[in-house]
Amino acid sequence: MFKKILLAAAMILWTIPFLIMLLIALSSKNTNTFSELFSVSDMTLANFIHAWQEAEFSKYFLNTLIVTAASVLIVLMVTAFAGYIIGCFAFRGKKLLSALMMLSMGIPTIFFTIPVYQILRMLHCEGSLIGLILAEIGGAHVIFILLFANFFRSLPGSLRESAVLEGANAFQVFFQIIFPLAKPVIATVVITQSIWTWNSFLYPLILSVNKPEIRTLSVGLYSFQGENIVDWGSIAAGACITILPMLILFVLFQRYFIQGISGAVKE
Amino acid sequence: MQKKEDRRIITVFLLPMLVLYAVFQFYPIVLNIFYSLLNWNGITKTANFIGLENYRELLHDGLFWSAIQNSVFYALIGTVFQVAVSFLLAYLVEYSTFRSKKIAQIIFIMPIVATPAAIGIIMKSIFSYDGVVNSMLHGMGLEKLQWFMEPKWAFVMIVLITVWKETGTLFIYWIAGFQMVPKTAIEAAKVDGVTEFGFLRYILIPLMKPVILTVSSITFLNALKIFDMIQTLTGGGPYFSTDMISTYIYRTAFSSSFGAPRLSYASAAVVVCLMFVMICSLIVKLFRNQQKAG
Repeated sequence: MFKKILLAAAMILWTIPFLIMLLIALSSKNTNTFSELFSVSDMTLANFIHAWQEAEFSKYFLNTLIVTAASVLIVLMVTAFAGYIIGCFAFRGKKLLSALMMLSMGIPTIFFTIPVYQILRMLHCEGSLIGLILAEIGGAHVIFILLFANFFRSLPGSLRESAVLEGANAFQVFFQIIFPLAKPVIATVVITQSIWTWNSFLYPLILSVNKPEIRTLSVGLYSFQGENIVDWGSIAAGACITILPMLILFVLFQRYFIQGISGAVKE
Repeated sequence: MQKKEDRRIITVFLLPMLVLYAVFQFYPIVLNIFYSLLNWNGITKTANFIGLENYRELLHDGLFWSAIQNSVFYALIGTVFQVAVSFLLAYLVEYSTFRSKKIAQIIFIMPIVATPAAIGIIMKSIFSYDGVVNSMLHGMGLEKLQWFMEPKWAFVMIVLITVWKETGTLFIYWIAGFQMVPKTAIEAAKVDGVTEFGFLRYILIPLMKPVILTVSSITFLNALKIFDMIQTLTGGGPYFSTDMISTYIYRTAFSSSFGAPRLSYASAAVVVCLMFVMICSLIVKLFRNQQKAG
């Protein structure tokens, strides 16, 4: 009994910040005060409309969507390709490659930001969405490569052999037979990477410093909050617009996201 | 004939990953070392080579060392709290007769998919001087607190908020780990009538020890990376009391709020911190290997 009460209390505590965020965003009084938040008669969508239209969250939303979609697609292909080779082929330097990948796993992003910004400047895309996409896909994504490698390795070798016998070349074998089989891993990579890129803050912050037009939601919200400190309603509405899409994505596809996270601890 | 085709795909399929790795992982580390030997703000066309001057200055930079100290302190305290709270919650969910396990799982994991920067901003408004928490305290006749203005409180708040934020990740690890506990051990405990505490102390925790060590070390190394929450909650303040490695580097390299950005100086800080993180990872690894052997 005691365990159940403790668990229920923790569950309530864990949801409260989200509830308060929603209540502030829906309140018409632009308030942050406890007693005024629960007056249901004052509920309004005005804050959302203000954030979406005047505070440019519609633009931030579109930017975030573009960066996320492009990054996810590229990361998916790059990691699936690499995972296939590492899982199914023997080649020289394989051990070295795995060691290098493992080494880069623990390095914080902040250590790469200074040179990456300069590299993007050399490529003349430091202030564009393309530059942001490049920075976002630049990580090693080792976990995804390992997930793909383990999956492809577990497939029976006869699958590839019989396809080759029927005259398919190596690329056809991959795209028509092997890759479509990896649906669970594809889903894991897409969901997990979507959430990481959508929530990314450091690179968007650095790259949009002189370019407000490429701000993503997280950075847009950060600068909005810096300029409108007491506009509680719009800040909370902006936070909802930022947070809720990924929350919904997670609730719908939680199995795949959980697999993506627990993949890290098994290695 | 067939073999030749197979070999070509290796190059073509590995190339994208190798290019990304070379350009955005390997080359940046080389560039960092190179920049750290210059006197460069990152904007001008030319820069002077000044050798190890930046490193010499770092040695006497109190803010740099306090940032490292804060990071390590936060990572240690944060790891202890995150591991303890998440283990307790996962234990309650897994080993109780609670019906809605699925809902509990969703609720505890939700914070990790929520944008950290947005959570930082929301928490800041909840704990602001005129915020929800203070107005509740006021309503109960207690004094309002400046949660993020006082160094000690700011640190406590960061630890508490990140416990809430990160529990989900560890929660997932524990649930995965519990599946490895042999069912027979649990059955035997039940038959023998082992108490709740006895089960935790003598059966579950010893069996989970390798997982606990792995999770703790991952959590510690992750905690060293914290940036989004610090930048949005305190920006490293008050008086640099919550300044971490990441906020120090960000401020020095990119922000002009404390004078002109000093890119090459920040690069030197990166090189020192990189070595520091490598040593930390190595110690963690050696420690784990020793545990495995012993």
